[in-house]
Amino acid sequence: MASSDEILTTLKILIIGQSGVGKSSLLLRFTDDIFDPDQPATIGVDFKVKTLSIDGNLVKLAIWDTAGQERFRTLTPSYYRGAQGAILVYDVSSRASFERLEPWLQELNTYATKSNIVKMLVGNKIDKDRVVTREEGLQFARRHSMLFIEASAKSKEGVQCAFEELVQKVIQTPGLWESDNRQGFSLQRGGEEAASESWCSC
Amino acid sequence: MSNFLAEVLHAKENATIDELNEILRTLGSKISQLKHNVVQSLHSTFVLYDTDVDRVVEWYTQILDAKEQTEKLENQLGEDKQILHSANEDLEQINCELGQCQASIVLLKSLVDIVKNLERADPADYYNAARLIKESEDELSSIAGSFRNAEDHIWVKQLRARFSDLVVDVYDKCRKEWGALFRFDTNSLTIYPHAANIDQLITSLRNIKSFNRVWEKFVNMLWQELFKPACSTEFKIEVCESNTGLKYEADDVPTRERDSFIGETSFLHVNDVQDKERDNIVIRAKKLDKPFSNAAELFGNLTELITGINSVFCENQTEMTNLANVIAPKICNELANKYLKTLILQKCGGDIEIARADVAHMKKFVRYLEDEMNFHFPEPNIFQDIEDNFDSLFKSQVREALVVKLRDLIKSDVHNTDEINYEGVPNSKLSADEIILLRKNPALFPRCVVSKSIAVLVQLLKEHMKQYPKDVGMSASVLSLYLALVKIPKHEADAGELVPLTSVLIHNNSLFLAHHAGYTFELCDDLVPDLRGKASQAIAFMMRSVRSKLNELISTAMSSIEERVDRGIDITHDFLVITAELKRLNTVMTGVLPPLSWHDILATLVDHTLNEMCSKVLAWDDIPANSASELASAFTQFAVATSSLFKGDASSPREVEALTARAVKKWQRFKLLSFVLTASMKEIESKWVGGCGPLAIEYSAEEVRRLVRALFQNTDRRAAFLATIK
Repeated sequence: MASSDEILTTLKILIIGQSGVGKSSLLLRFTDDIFDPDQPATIGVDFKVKTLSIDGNLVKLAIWDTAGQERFRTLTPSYYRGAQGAILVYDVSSRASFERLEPWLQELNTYATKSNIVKMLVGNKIDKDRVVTREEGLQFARRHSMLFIEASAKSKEGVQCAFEELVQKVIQTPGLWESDNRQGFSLQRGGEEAASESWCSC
Repeated sequence: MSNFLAEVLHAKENATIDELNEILRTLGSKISQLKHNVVQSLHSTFVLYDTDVDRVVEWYTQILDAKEQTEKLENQLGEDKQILHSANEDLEQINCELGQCQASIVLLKSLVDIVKNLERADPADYYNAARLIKESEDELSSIAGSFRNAEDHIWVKQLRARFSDLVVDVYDKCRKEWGALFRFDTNSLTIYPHAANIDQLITSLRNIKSFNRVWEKFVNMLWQELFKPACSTEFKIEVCESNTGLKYEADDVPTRERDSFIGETSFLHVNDVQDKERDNIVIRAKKLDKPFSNAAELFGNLTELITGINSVFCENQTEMTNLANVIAPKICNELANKYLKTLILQKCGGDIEIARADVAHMKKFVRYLEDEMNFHFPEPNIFQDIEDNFDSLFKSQVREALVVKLRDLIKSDVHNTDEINYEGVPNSKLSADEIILLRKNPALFPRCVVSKSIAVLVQLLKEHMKQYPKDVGMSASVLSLYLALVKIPKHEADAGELVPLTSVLIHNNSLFLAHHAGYTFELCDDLVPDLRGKASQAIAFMMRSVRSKLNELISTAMSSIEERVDRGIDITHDFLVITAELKRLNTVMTGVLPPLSWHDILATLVDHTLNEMCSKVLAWDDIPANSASELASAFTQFAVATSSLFKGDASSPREVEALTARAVKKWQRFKLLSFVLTASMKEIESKWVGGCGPLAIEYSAEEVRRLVRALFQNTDRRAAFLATIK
């Protein structure tokens, strides 16, 4: 395990979205490479830590998985505080989950304390019959200046890529994490335009 | 000249002084004329002879003599005049003395007459005696001014003393006769019409100037024993005739001392009439078991009574008028103060027609007494007042009665409650229309419990407003009254009997009234903020009160932990006492406040409790390992027990935990503290995660460092760890 000295920075990432879209499965697949088809609904909030290597630099991710069910939601404004990245998840096989993205995005924009927080839209469950086309997801992401990726926690497809893309984007975003980082760091970054327009398609 | 002198002398003998003076004055003018003639003749003659001169000289000498004689006579006449004047004065004095003698003779005659009258006056024959006394008194009064010297005054005084004695005796006799006529008892009067001649008695009493005293006493007794009860609703006046004579023993009659004449006497024991058959009139005020509630009965009472009295004084209209002059204002006053408005305006139960019928009856009653009994009420009087202002009085009475009723409701027990549930139609006392109206209402009042009295108050006000739609000020008055009467103390020490439940009920009552002030009653919008303010005061008081209690329990639970742990005392119990208190409160309050409101309040109270606990732990500089372990265990048990308050329909502990965390803001902070108390530095770091972990959400870096310092010994490792917490 990497020592604290080797960690470039610690980033706070939130996973939000409608209940049952597979937020916890994505997290479990990413952190523990596990998929549980009977994954129970998240109650309250889950928290996991994963260290990721980006361009040879180790970045520690503190990932917050929130409950989608309204009655168990405890995600108060304080949980949004200091988050550098947020993954907004919908289920490509559920039109309703796609149509409920707006309120989640609104809540994120309301409570996020960092104005340049990196947002990523993830269309999960691409292993199932889709009712939301990739194009629709892409358009939503473009409309809201979000990164976009389609993934399947079950088949692992796109999961690692989504987190890596998000972290890379965070790292490339000036002023988003440096204030929390006490070490010098240099990273090859794309231009501003590239940062705002890019989305992963792996 | 001699003629002149002769004339003077002649006049002196016959004429009075004045006539003599007149003659002298005529003579003087004649002499002057003569002198003038002489001079004229001298001038006309031109020649003056010695003889003529001698004659003139002689005349002149004669004239001088005559003048001297005249002066002498004049002096003598003056002296005579003075003598005569003195004689006249003496004569006048004699005449004056004669006049005085004549007056004294008349005065003496009057006195003799007075004395004779007094000697003839026999108190047994009180009527004639009183007449003679009056005549003598009048006579004495008319001649009283004639006595001037002190000696006279002494015997006039003696005469007056004799008068007084006689008056006392006659009065005594009259009083007994009056007592034979009228016998008062408790709330009753028996009249013996044939016991004495009332006209003679009244005249006699008037003649000895004692009627007013007897009459006033009689009227006072009448008022006290009969009229006053007749003005109340608790007595029934009965007038009946009876020929059963009342027997009195001679010994029963008290003997009055002469010098107690002025003192109080009673009619009750005065009766020297021997037993004999008489037609008596008995007027009685009979106490009723239950007060009557009909104004007609009151008028009937008074009519009966006045008719009964009038039957005795029907021939004495002056006395009836006097009686009315005294009694009528008292009746008006008594009825105005107590019964009439109550009977006419209150007992009708708000039915204006019944009240109007009573007013018509009242008018007949007044007219009957005036026309038939010569019993006039003073003007203005209560009857006129009611008749003239009936509409406004009726409305004001209705308002007054309602305000009194509502005031009692406001002050009644708040703990007698009623559930307000506008949504549940079958249980609601509202009509279907009202429920529909309320459902459309954007501020639908939530389900909760309010005091029954307040619910009734609102209902009564609604009914009143329906009946009197123009009385828009009523609701505002009542709500203002509520605000004035319901007090919330600022300090807990002044709470008295105000327990948290009472405060909550006041809160609900106030909001319930505010709701209706806004949506049901007109012109009450201004009072809504005040009513809501009252509700806020009540709930704030409840919160202060409960917090204060919780603080005490927390202090008990968290004091001397180290010592108690060292002595092996279980510290968990004291924390569970806090939970028990919260659960007790929950049991008491559930259903009282709207469910969501109470949920929030309970969460706030738990939040306060947890915050206090966390603050106390954070304030400690050193937490020994065993204390930390025991405290963590106690915190965990407390958390499990307390979270059950928020479990709702949750099925698993994790769900309960999540629901509790959602309700109570400081829940996670408290849970993390429990974790930190027994955690290693590495475990703490796993929750801190460079300021991105859960610990960083609830605690500042400084707070975490402080906890680490309190929990761990000062080592290099701790220093290195502390350095990472930024």
